[in-house]
Amino acid sequence: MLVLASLADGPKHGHAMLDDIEAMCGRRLGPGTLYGAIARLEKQGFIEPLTAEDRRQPYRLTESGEKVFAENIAQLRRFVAIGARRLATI
Amino acid sequence: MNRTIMAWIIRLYPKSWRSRFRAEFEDLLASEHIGAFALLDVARAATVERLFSPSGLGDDTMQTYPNSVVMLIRKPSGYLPIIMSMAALALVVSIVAMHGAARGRDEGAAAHTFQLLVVAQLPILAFFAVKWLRKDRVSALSVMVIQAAAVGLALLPVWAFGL
Repeated sequence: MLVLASLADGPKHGHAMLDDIEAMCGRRLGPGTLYGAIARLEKQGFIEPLTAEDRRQPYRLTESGEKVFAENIAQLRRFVAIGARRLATI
Repeated sequence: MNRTIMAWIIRLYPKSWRSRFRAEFEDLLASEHIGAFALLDVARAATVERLFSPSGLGDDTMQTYPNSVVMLIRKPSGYLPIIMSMAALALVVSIVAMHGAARGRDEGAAAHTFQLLVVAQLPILAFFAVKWLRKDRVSALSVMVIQAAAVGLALLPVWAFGL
């Protein structure tokens, strides 16, 4: 989800994704965690590699990746709305 | 990051993973500050990749390079020694439960069966080592550690009760 959110802002390579995710949520992912997610998301067809810049490999969201990201965000919105309503009644 | 450490840490990943991601992953490690947390994170991710291959990159080379411990342990020469050790352990435990830990003068059928279960593993272990160590050293060694631990577990009550 964090990788999808980062790539929703445009294609990025690994280092840029780590910086972006840290800026978004205040926590820097480990390199193993990031590449575990990249490998899995690529296998699932949610992200794809672009032409490599030297040894840096940029990735971008695919159409199905955008769809999955949009679905996840919609689900989170519903969750936040319900959570906020319930919190207000406490 | 020190290039030697980087080379070693990347070797933790399966071969197929390395052939796909090595260059970009090296570039990332070189540009990141790699402390204890990051090292542990990479070791954990590599172990997960090797054991379960969540990216699926291990599947295409499975016939010749079964680059996960799970794949190797499913081979008869991988799981048979473990089953034999567990059978030997169950045998000792059941004998001790039924007759106590006192050592009899005659070793009896149970002791001979135990010895057979342990000794008969040796050719299977040798076959496993010869066949798989060359093809996938790290995974084969991981399975051999599990096999050795199973033998140790089977021998533990024999040593503990002085049987």
